[in-house]
Amino acid sequence: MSREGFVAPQNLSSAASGFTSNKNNTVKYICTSCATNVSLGRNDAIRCSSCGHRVLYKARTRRMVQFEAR
Amino acid sequence: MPPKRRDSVRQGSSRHSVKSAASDESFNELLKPMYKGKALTDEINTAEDKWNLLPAFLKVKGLVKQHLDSFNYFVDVDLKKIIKANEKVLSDVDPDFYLKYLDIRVGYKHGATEMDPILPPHECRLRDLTYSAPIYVDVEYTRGRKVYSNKNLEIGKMPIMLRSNKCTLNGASEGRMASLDECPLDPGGYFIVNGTEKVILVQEQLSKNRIIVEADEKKGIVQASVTSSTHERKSKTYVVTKNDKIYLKHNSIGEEVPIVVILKAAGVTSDLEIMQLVCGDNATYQDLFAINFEECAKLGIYTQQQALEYLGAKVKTMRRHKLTTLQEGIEAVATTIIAHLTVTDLDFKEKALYIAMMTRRVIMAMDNPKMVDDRDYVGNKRLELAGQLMSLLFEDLFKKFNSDFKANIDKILKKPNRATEFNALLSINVHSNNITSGLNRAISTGNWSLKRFKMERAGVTHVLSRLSYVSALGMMTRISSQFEKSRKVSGPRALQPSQFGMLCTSDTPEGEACGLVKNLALMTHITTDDEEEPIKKLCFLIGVENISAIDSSTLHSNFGVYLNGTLIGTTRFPSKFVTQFRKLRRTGRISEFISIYTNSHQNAVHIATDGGRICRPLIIVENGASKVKAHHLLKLKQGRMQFDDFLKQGLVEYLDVNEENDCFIALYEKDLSEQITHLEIEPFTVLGAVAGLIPYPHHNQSPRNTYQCAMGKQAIGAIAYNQFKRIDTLLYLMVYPQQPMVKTKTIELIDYDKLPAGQNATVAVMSYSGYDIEDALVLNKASIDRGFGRCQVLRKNTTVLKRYPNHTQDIVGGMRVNENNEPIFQHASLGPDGLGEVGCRVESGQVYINKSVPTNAGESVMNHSESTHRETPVFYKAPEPSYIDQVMMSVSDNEQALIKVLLRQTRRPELGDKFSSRHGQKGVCGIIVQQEDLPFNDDGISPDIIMNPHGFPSRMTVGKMIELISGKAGVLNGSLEYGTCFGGSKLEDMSKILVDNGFNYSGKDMLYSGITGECLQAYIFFGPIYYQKLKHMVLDKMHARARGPRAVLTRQPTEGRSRDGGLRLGEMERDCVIAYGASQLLLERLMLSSDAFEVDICDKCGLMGYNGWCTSCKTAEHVVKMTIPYAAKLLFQELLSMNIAPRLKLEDVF
Amino acid sequence: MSKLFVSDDEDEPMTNTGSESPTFIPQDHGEDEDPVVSEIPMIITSKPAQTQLCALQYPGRPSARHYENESHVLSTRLKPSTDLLEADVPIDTSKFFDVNKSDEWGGVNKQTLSGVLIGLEGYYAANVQNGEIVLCQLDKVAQLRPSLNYIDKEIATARDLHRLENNHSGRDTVQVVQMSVKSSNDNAPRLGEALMARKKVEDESFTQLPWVDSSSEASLALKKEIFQADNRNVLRSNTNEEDYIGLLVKDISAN
Repeated sequence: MSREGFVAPQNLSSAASGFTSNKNNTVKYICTSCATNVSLGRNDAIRCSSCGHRVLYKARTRRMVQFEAR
Repeated sequence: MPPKRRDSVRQGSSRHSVKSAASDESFNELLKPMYKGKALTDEINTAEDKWNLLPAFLKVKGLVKQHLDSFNYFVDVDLKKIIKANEKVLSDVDPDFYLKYLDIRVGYKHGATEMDPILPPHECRLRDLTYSAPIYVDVEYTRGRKVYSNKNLEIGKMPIMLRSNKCTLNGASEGRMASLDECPLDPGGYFIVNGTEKVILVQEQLSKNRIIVEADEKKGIVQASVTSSTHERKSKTYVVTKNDKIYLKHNSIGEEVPIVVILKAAGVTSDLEIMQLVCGDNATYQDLFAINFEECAKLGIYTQQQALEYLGAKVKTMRRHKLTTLQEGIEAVATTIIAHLTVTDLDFKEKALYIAMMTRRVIMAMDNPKMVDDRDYVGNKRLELAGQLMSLLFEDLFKKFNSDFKANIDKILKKPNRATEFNALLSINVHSNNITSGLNRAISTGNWSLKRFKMERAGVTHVLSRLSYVSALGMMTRISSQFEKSRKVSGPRALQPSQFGMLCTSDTPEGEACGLVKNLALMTHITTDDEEEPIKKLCFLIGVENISAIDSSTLHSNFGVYLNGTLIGTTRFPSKFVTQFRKLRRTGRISEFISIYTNSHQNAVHIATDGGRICRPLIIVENGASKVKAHHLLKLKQGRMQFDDFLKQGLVEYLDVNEENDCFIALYEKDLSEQITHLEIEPFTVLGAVAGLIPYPHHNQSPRNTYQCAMGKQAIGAIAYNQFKRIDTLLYLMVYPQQPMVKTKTIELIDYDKLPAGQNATVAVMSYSGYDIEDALVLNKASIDRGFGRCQVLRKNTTVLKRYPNHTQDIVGGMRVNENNEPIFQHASLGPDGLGEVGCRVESGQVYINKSVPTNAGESVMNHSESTHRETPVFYKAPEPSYIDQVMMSVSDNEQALIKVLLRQTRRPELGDKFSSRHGQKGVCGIIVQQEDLPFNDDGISPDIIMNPHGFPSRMTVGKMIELISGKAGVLNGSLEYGTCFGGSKLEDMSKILVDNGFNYSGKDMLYSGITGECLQAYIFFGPIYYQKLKHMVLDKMHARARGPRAVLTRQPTEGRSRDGGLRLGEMERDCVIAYGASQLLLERLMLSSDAFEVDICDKCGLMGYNGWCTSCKTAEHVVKMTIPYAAKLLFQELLSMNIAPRLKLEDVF
Repeated sequence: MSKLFVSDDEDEPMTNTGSESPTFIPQDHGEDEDPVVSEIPMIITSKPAQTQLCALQYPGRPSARHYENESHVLSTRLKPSTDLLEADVPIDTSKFFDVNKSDEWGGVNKQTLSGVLIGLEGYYAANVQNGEIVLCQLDKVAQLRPSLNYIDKEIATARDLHRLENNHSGRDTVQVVQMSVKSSNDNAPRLGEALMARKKVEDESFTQLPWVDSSSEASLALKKEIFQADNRNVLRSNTNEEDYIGLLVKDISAN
């Protein structure tokens, strides 16, 4: 989708520049204590996978946000 | 090289911080070579440097320390006392069973030196939990035949006050606090209950167990002695006069008893002795009192026995056993009821003396009406802190816990056949929830309702206001009074001279609560209880004659010695006794908070050891010289001495309000002379923390200082270091806060310069544009573009995804797309998880939490119907768009998912936003002018704000003008200037700096007009002033309604901006319209625009009908259509429902 | 020190309260012209075994008129464990005496003084002899005041008569009474402290104490025995000055 910003085309075999991760760089949530990225689906328990902390912040959006310089 | 001034601070050099607790990281700054512009080898002048005692004092007994110390005392000492008083739980059924509490601890297990780890406070705030620690008890109980003891039984959770000694933040270094997401400058002293920060405010009350004499001109003279014991009762005993005769009045006695009867009942049988006890040798008193003997003789009471029986007949008891030997027994107990406190066994002498003292005070007041007590004198007031209230609450809950537990035990033990032997422990845990939830509920609702003490207090706790850093700090020093706000008596609201140094003289809110809500001054301490017994023994050792060995005739020729209001002895050498006592206190033999003073009107020496007195430290002066010398201050600077060392060496002592009356206090060192007894440490400590923000307050008219104290708490600024991590309901942040150019010593002490709330604006005081009338300000558009006054408003929205008993739960769903596969407008900012994307803009009408509720939530568990969900999204409704700042997902304590969304708006200053300087000069932005049109000076500087000069003459805020000059001098000089109360940078020095830099000494500049380019014809007062932006912004208040929703019941327009309501034409506005005679206007406003309603009214019976038909007359003739307000029709119907017939009589309209 | 509201009396050596060392007035090092005028040794003795030394005060009686000669004490009684002391003193029936009233109350010719012995610390009986002061510690103090027992007795007898009359008149009716047994645990009244103390006093009985007049031989001999000041050890303090100051300083610098 164009709203998500520029995404490199995925199937450019060996000519692709560097790594393109297949996962589309999904980052859902960030743990407050250990700052690891946690991916949660629906109905998962809300816990960090590495440290067990219970407070997770949602990661910042990939979309483009335009501000007025006012 | 600019001249060295002692008070200025070199830029970049050491800053002094007071707040770091045990870690001396910032205190080490004192040890660096340059501190406050002075090297260690600089000369120390006691006159100017003794203010260094202040930061030392605040380190030990800071502003918030009262709350912390009181809570620490509660947790460490009081809990153990409560347990001791309620040790055993016995069972009625089984006499061998008992359960005894041995010990109680909060937060750590038996034998452990470290506390159990608990959740850090910030996590509790985010997850809406309570910051608490478990309460462990050690018990000993019987099971079967044997006695077991068990340790570390948890009976509940105690909410912990932040920064107390059970808190994880206690003594933590700045690094550790940062890792816990907590601000090191946060004052602490509050609780976190269910995610909200709650403060238990300090309560002010009249002192207990003291005799207070009041006189009423019209009736008689009333004297009350309020007494309460720690357990159980609280009652008032009055000694009143009726027709010049004296009676005793009490709740438990049916009617008033003549005073001589009481005295005889208390053991003073001889009339001669009564006369000696009450009147002494004074002939006038004897004449006044003589008539009371006749009262007693009329009743034929001559012996103690007769008096006791008479009293017993009058007592109305609610005792279960009326069998106690009828009369005599009952009144013996009655003597226990009167004037509690001293409960004696066989010897009523103390009680008799106490009653005789009360009577003597009444006689003295009858003779000389000036001898009454002032209820508003600060020395007669006591302040109750959080620890005491918590201990009352805990005691009540613990007693209830014990009685529930006992009932449970009895129920189980009553059953005749039990398979196993009874284990008491299992059932204890069932009730542990009671204590936890009781404590939480009391703190979160603020209702302290204790059956034990018949206390029903509401409004004990408040939500800590986080409008700015100063508002949080100000709330911690607030004292709320017990008087209701509706009383019109002006006494409690007036400023008392005894408030000097103890309570801030400027800081009180305007309006209803004026004078009832007070704040503590900077250097104050609230005492805690001390043991009486050792002091009693000490008095006898020093030479006080015991009251039991004294005869009544010589009682009043000597000075009586009173300990906490009760007479313990007499002394013939009062001043020597007082001097010796003070010497003992100064050398540390007795606690430094015990006060002693002489009252020559009553021939008494009073010693006070009770808690809740407010006191402050002063330097002791002997023989005309202060005891604090330069070498002491040098050691203080080098860190070799602390404030407590000054106390122990007898250089500084604490004086409470009553003892101040005995002292001759000098303000400055130059005033020292032979008779002076004490020296003030610093005069600017008269003001409190919030009033300390004001520069040069001693040059302002005092109401202006009071206004500033109220407005300083509404200023937008930095809240705390962790402000970006906090999720609060409403948070105002300033984008570019600046510390003030002209600051005060108080600002440095409370660290306001680290979390400031305003900006230094360049101000020109002139008339400009005509849009600045009535205190409005003219703002510079370019300054606003560059970020002046820009603030951010953060709002929180919480959603809980509930779980239902039939195993369904709320979910957050995805978004819906329209035909182009684009999300519809409402769901434009949602992400794939149903929550708004962080950083996205949200506009009015869009959804940011797409919650769905299951439709079969109410059904029982058995029906396994498919759960479809119904959308209940959360919409964003506001005129301006916001950005989603943070989305937090978490779990609350009952395993339900908790979602908090933080929405952020950045607001520019616009027309209508409120600004104020620090001198009570508030104003609204009137117009925003381009920078090109504003006047400018030779350097090209144009002002940020233009202020109308009409604001100065009637308001007389000269401090603002001096602030401008000092600020200008500071800017030119590269230094921050001081505007401390009764001190600060001197005006001549500032003017000299201005002159040295080429400016006029009076701060006036020559400006060129921005519009025409010529010089303005007058010199303009131009310089930097610290301006604050207040939280009243027009965006939050602007409201309009043409037509809109109506209330259901009355069909009138709704109320309030949030419900799109209308504006009320109130009673007074109605009076104005009536005064004009505009009756049709009234009709339009009150009926046609509001709730006009057409009714059919029958002319004959006067009741309402419908559709042209009258139901009571059963005919359609006589029915007339009328328009009346719907509220009137509602009234008629309600009256009809109560069987009252409101019949309308109709007449022709002209 | 500055003068407070009341002007001081001159210092007198206190004779009724004492302690083992002179009172606590700090020395002014600057004043060397304060020569010692005289030294008065203070000797503390112990009383003979098994005697209680108590001071009796008579608050209702002016200090000039002692209870001796015509108004000497007739008899004294004591309740040992509750410490109630009573003494009988004769009344002068010649003047200020209403014979009619006295007959009403059954012929009154003596007054009963009663009081409770209270233990007090720090009170000594002192005797100045041979330029020295000899102190002996007191155990208890009592203030004896007249108690008007005769009035109470008269009221009590009147009430008993009244009750007997009522009982006699109400004897005729027959009542049917139902028996029931209740456990006595809850219903026994728990008396408060004051009532409990009263009950104890009433339950106990008096033991007679012989009264020995103060001018008699026996009492003079006892006085000599108590105030004999034979053993004249000068008290020496165990801590010397340095250690004492060390204790003080340790106290200050410890916290």
